Amino acid sequence: MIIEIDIKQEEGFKLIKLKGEVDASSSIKLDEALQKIMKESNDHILVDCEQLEYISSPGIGVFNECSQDSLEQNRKLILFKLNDEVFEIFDIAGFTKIIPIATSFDQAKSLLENDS
Amino acid sequence: MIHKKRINCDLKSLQKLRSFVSNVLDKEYSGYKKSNLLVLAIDEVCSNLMQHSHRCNVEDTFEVRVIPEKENVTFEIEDDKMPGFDISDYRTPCTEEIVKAKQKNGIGLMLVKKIMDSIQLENKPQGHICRLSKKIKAQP
Repeated sequence: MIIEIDIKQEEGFKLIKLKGEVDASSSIKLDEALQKIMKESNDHILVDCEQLEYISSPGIGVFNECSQDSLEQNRKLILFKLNDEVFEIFDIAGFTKIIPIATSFDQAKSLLENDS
Repeated sequence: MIHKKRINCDLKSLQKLRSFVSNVLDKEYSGYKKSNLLVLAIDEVCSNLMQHSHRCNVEDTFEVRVIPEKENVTFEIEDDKMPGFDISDYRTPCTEEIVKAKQKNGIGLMLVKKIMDSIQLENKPQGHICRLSKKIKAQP
């Protein structure tokens, strides 16, 4: 298994911790986890990417879809603590301006509070 | 020296592919800071090939070659099937189009085109070679 997904319920949001690599193979697991959360709750979603070592386009695509669905439902998907290499991939694809990205957990939480 | 690896058309093989490309680049261009982007570009092209040309048939294979030169690296992906489409001629959607349509596809080839300097497709009597090149700037 190249990706581990840990999901915790926090006050008003789901906290997802990713560990490993998201590629064309493992993005299916990430997609299923996010779809399940989207279906079962109205919570915001914060994704801790500190231990996310790699992402390719299917993973960005999964986050894009989830982010757009979240906006339509007046909720937010926020990624935080991306390492430099993963951030660069989002940046080259043009998604750092589309999907909210924070540098820390506290900043991610404040992005939620500022908008609520 | 040309480095070669035969890859099965199984998405689970992508991790091995990335390790192969990464190890070759580390060996040939020690200290080059953009290796991760080249690994990403090859991952994108190969996963595309596995899914669209081979429907992820794990018995199918193709060969990946890394050809290092002093200031340029070329990757060749040789497959005995014709490509699903010509990547070098493919109009990739822009980010705004992808976002608006909530697309999961189209991002990969956009990344490949942004990362690599040139992409060529050579059709052969049986199959094709996709050739991707990147200039490697000397490290200070």
